[in-house]
Amino acid sequence: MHEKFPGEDRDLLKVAAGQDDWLDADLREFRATVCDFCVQALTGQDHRTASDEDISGWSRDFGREFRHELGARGFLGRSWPQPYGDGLSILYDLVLADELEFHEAPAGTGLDSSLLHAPYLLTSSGTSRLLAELMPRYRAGLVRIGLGYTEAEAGSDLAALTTMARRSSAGYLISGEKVFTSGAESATHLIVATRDDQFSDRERHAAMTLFVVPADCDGVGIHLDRTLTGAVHARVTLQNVRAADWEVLGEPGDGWSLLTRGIARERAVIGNPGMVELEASELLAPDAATVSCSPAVVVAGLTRAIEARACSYTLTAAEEAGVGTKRDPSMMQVIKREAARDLQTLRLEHSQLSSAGTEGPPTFSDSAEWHWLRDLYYLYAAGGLDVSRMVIGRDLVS
Amino acid sequence: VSTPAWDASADDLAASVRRLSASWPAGESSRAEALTALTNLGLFDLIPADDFAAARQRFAHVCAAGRPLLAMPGAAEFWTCGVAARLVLSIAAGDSRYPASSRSWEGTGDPAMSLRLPAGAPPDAIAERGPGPAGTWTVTGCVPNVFCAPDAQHLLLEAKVDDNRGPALLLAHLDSRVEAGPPDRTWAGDPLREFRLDRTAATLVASGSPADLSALTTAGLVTAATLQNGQLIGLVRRAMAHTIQHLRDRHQFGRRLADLPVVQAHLADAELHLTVAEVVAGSALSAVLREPGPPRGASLALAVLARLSVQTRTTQAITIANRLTGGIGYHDGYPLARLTRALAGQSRLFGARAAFQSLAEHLTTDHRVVRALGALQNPNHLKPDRQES
Repeated sequence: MHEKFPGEDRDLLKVAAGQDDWLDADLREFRATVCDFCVQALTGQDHRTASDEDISGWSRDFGREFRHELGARGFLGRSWPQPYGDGLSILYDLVLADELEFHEAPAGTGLDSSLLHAPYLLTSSGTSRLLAELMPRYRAGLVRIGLGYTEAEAGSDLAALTTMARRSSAGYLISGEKVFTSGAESATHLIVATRDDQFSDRERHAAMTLFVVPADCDGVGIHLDRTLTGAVHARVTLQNVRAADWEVLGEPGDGWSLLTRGIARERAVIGNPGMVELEASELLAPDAATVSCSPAVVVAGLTRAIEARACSYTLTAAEEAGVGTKRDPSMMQVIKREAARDLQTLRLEHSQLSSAGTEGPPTFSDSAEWHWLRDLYYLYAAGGLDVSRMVIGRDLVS
Repeated sequence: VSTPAWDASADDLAASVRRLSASWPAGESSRAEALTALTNLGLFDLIPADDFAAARQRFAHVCAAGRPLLAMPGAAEFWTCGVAARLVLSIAAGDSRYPASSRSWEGTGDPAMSLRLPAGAPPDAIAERGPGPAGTWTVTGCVPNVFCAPDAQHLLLEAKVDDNRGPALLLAHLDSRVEAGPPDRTWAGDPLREFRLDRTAATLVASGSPADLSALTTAGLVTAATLQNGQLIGLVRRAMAHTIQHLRDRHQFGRRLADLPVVQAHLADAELHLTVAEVVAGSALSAVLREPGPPRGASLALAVLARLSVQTRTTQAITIANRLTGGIGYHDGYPLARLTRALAGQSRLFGARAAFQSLAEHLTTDHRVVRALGALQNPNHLKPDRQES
């Protein structure tokens, strides 16, 4: 009467106990190189403001330069499939995201889908013409892609989107509006999820088509909405935007499966522990504005940081080892973000009152307040934690 | 130090234990037979008293690969008597600070055990030198709350030394001068005994400063707890399996319980808790195995934080499992009730959560340990330490 139970086939205890094997010498060197670069490139820079700029607070010009430098130094594309990248382990992307997020690089928080998710979507489903035109420049850091998925009434239920793609003699005409399009204000291209009118008789999940369109083409409007921190977030309007057949990703009507596969990859890398490590290091090495923590707070903060870090790398290693599950990326996302939130709350509780409660957005000198407000965003971005919980729950009972 | 290797023989042994555990009938009457069966598999031979590193390495394989292994009667005695006591003796045997008498100890039986983490109460028993040749001691007093294997021949205990030289660790022979009190029971069903010793002969395992003794017992108990984390996770994995099956079988409002979004969200929370516990336990196991000797510094602190995490997360996960299954988790006739009781008892075998919290706070007041914890996996992410800043 030997019972089968979840987890028997994949022993995370064993994977975790061997996790250092997954960060081999090359990966450790890569991490050190990226870290050194970030320290060198970001220390003492004055390109940082708390308003009218991207979510990480850097100016758009500096963000472009920084990305170009990432490409020039060969940091991009390590794990992208060949011939567009080096075809190495996904751990390279995890390490890159970890370092960028820890150092609060320009749009380099784990949210930059343009680096962490879009390349896989493109290389797995882009046409040869699209890839030939885009990927070499992409790897050089000259392309940034905004993901035009979410709409005002289609967020957690993405299949309810209403942006339409109509077949025309020269390709497609796309019309609609997207919201929360992270990074669109500095994007060179947009991936746009649409309802394809060729398949109006199909079930809604089977009628979606994805396109790649240049962000500066006729009919595309980028509008900036202010967030709690004073930084901006983009809304994208599309009015009869023309797209050619070679700009379609995958098969027309197959957008849903492409999109969900891609989001899983995005969540996996978003699960990097950089943000948690940053909060933990700020909490445990306080500056003058922070009250020294009690031993109980040190233990709570350390425990949360260790949990998030171990989960990020172990679950990614499990994926590499072929024992990952469909729910792992979502679990990484939830574990990391809840840990970061707990640490931010601890940190805020141990901060001297600065701008909190006064008028206007906090500045970067009010680091704890800035992080706490900015990271409200992380609680709903990329599907939100409740959606992630549903993915986990459904996978368990399926 | 190389990464732990997972060899086929360890996996085979773990699979044998898992099969035995899964097929073992529930019920108190089979406790002695269960221990005999575990002994016959060779588990008690895995930890020789004179080689701590080898003992730890070998046993870790079984604990990791066969983590559901001891959801059976006798598990508490196995962990405290078979594992923790031998680890403590092994550390003492390999450390020149402790007397030669401990190195010559030959475990002819499985010692019962009464040790505590530093947060525990001071010992009640009194140790006196003599009579007889040097190194002979006698112990008098009461030793409560001992997890005791049925055929134990020795008692490993802490005692106060009569000349106020601090506590000592002694191995007492359970002979006619030891009166075993009536067996008590934890509510998980594990037997606890109280021993009354009347000038009982004992061998000195360790003495000296309270700090030395504390380091010895802490390293042994925390190592044992790190190895046992896998069992706690296995218990809850099994509880989760029963819960998921229940949710698939039962219907409400015309749908399977498993199809209700709110149920799925709760289930996701339980899985998140359990996954975190599993991963952190593995991380601590790795750190403990990499130490050439008993864990200390950052490895010890990581193991203590991991134990705290495992205690908390497994309790939260099984609480959700009980919430999702309603009264089934409350009735002895169902596996979930037995697993819940077992977890409540076994997660406290080496100290309650408060004891580990206290120990963790003590260890992390050292800023070097905090920095080293940060550096264990990511040396780049070190900010100026607290003392310097």
